[in-house]
Amino acid sequence: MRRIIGCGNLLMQDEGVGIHLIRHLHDKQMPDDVELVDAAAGGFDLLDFIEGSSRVVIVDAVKARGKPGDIYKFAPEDFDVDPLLKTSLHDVCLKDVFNILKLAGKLPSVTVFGIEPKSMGWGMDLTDEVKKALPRLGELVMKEMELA
Amino acid sequence: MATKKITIDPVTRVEGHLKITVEVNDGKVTDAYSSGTLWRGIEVILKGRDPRDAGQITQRICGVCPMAHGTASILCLDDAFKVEVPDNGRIIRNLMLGANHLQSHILHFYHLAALDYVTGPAIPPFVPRYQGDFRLPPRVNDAYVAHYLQALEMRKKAHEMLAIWGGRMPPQTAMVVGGVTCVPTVDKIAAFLWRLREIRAFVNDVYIPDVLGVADAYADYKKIGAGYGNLLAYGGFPLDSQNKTKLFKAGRFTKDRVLDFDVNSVTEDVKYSRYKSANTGKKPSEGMTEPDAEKEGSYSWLKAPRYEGQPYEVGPLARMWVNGDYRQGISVIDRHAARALEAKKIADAMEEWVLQLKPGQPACAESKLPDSAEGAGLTEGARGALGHWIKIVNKKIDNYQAVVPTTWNCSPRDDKDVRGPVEEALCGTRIVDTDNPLEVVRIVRSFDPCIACAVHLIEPSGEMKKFRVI
Repeated sequence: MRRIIGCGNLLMQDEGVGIHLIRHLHDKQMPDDVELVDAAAGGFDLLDFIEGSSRVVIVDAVKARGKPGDIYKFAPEDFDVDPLLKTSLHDVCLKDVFNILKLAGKLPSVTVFGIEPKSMGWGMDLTDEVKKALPRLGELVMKEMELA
Repeated sequence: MATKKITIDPVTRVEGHLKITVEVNDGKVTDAYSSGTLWRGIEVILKGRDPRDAGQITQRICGVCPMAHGTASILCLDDAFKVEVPDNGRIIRNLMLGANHLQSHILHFYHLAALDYVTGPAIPPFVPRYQGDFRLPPRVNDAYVAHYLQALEMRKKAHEMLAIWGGRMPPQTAMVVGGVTCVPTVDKIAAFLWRLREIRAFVNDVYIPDVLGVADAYADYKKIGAGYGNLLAYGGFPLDSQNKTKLFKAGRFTKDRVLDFDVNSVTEDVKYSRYKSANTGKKPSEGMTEPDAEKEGSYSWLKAPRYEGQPYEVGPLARMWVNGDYRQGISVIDRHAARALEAKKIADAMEEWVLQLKPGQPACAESKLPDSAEGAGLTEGARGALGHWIKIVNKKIDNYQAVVPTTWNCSPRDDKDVRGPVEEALCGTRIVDTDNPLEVVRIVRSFDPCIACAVHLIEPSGEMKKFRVI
């Protein structure tokens, strides 16, 4: 099974962009071997969806000092997080998930798409800048999965 | 000797954002401040919505314990809608919540707490870590890595158990006012049971022995991190449709006595919290969440919940103590031990419950959205006493409040300047090496804090420009 996984918190505006992307893709035709996953905010829960997949694309908010709506594409080994005391669990989590799967010898081919958030206050809607980038992000994800 | 201030921000491997500052004089903690760095804003989102949305939306508060929030929210709606849940619905809800407790306890020990006591191999995710006081022999450390990976399998099985009823996890979609949308069938019961038996075996043969191993090697931690010794449980896992008996009854322990619990005695102070002071000392059902980020003297986004004005610790140790299942002591080690033994108690009860399900019988009762009503939903999340309160006016949510377990445990000082439970538990602790304050993180993590686990953002260190896509 190939999986497109969106993660983020739906209650925190742009932080939930991964979930919004999954909902955006719901309208598209998908072959039977592609599953769309709303993985919510659970870092460790990603394990279950990545493990056993043949190919994975993950979409999440990425704060990398760019402009709101900027799209990034990278692989698990391309990024690192600050060491122990300087970082939050949420930074650690995705990287941790990759580390654990690597340790267990179960890390498939993974691509991460990130999108620069504008606002992460409480709210269930994306900001205009991020919403505008959503169709383009969708196209890139489909292309990465060789679906378009 | 000068005061040395240690700030750990955030405490890593704690679910959410938590800042702990301790002041150390002559190697001893003389004061402590616990700050939640995220603003609790669920109330803002829910206001004006259809009350039935609350059960789904509140699950998104937390990536680790969505089921606990979902349960509190649905109980609160059952109360407002005045509906009695049939046995099948009650049992399936218990099975889902129980599955979530099991995965949470196992995850907490093997993937968060154990790393304070056990050294894995020198590769991520086992490094970086503090240096110093690690006491277990190499044989135990080697076995730990295998158990770490096995625990991940168990966590996955627990999620699958939940998804059998809940449709998915996270977050489940089955719970509705009056019960659940799924019905028990023989194949679902069987699929649940074989997974449960594997987890029970893991709890009995691996998890409990591993916790006891840590307890033996770090016996001095039976004397560290006691705090006030006030313990509180709201009660959870109803055993009948009227919620008269529960697997964990409500109650509290203070000054050597187990006493009754009355929800009307819970209030929240905000003198040191970043909320408008006009709203201090209110009951959660009447509480307001009006932020005041720059308020003088405030240092936390958490409010300070109190019972009859006193701080109380919540969590597995509180539940097990109040119910007479564990009374060895109150300390860092006792919190871990009570959590492991609670996993056994819940898993054992789940096997009885799943066999009480009656295929063909209803799992949900009909109900009608009231014009105006109030409701309270009290339950036990993995991390402790959890309460949601709703007020419905003109069929819409007028006010919604959630008091989460970590608000109790990691609360700041109250209006009388009395420290919160974690702050108090830290005071008086001897710190061997202020550059590697293992004692502090061991105390804090024993409470299994979860500060409105909300943001799941990737914030890479280093340059990201080369990965930008046009």
